[in-house]
Amino acid sequence: MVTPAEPSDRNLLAAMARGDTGALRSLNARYGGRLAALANRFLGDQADAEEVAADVLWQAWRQAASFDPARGSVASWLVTIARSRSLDRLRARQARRAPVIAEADSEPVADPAAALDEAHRGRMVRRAIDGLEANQRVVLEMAYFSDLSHAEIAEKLSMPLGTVKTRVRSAMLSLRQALGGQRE
Amino acid sequence: MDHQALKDLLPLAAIGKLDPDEERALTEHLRSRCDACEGELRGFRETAAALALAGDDIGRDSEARIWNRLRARLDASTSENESAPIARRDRPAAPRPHSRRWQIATGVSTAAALAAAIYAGVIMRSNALQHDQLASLADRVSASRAELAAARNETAALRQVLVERAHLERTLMAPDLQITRLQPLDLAPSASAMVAVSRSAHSAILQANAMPTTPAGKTYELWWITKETGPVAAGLFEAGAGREVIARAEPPPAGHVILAAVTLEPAGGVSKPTGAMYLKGEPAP
Repeated sequence: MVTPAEPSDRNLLAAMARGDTGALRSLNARYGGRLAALANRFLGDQADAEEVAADVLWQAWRQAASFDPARGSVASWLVTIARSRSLDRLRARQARRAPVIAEADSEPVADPAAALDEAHRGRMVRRAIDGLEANQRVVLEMAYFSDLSHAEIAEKLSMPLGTVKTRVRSAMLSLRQALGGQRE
Repeated sequence: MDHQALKDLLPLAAIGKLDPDEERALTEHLRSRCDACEGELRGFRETAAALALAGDDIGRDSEARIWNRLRARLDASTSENESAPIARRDRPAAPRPHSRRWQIATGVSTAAALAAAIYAGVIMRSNALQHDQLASLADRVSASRAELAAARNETAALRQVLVERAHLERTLMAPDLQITRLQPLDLAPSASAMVAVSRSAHSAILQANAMPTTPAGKTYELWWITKETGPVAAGLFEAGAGREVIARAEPPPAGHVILAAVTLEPAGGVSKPTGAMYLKGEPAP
């Protein structure tokens, strides 16, 4: 989370709405790399992923004044845009490659020093994800980090459609329980 | 659909995975101002955001490149704003039909006044159209500038690839060329790679295909493993999914090389291998 000396995400957005480019730069420092990492999981291409991250932050810059905190946090807003733009780009180029989930999963947790304040939360989220049952984790990641529908996931995993939905739902519930009330 | 069934849809809605029928039903329900479901959906969206952002950061380089793209757009946007008032200044003021001079003119000829009014209307519409066209052109210029900045980055990357390819060709043409083929291991089952070495030119170059994308904070590292010294670092490279990699490497050290290998290591590389092995191969005798 943000230390007291740093402006909150909402304050950054308010400053952006006033035309403060420094606030945009700070928002990029806070989220740019992670949004690109998220887009990279969909696209498997770092340059494309960085373009998506730039698009997301540019949209935030242009729409900062209309951000409605009642609908959710800034992070949630940025992630929603990033995921949507990544999927648009993925569909546009009709990529057929599989998501890079297994590879990312095989890696150890990142060096905590690299992510400063966010590292703690990142570790907690990872622990929460690791705490899911394996079958829940796989289905949730396939559902979230790919363009596959539930029916397509069911086909790939050779399991009934209802089971896929139940596992995604229960994984989200478990995660929410594990992370409850931590975000801004 | 009863309330519990609708509530069950909320986790799936938060990750955008509802069927069209389910989405319609839930949207209708939320429109009826169910605060409980609205709140739960918000909570699940935060959970999804946490899941999305839990991955490793691509790194400071990525942040800098994203900022460069944003700065290019800001610059383009600034020049667009600077040019807009000029366009507006150029727009002629609309005629004032009730001025004294206009009333005198009406005394001379009503028909002429009518013609003038129609002409003025045409001019106004024409100016409005021109203004819209200018705004549209400014948008296109802004988008083109951003594309140009991206294209420049891409050109620089391609130029680097060409330089490396030329180096590869020089190495491949060397009379003492030796090729070591690296075979894929479990972590990169469809990958392939070779290392071309010319000891006389003191050069080596690695070419790899179908390596998994380098994870954030990591790098692939090539090793020569000799009987005498064990593993010796020979170079770092990164891979994007599906892309060919051509990277310069250090030629093998003196001694009997028994193996070449590629491992995944922390960004910046390490002096001795610590990570998982992705490729390995024995040099030709």
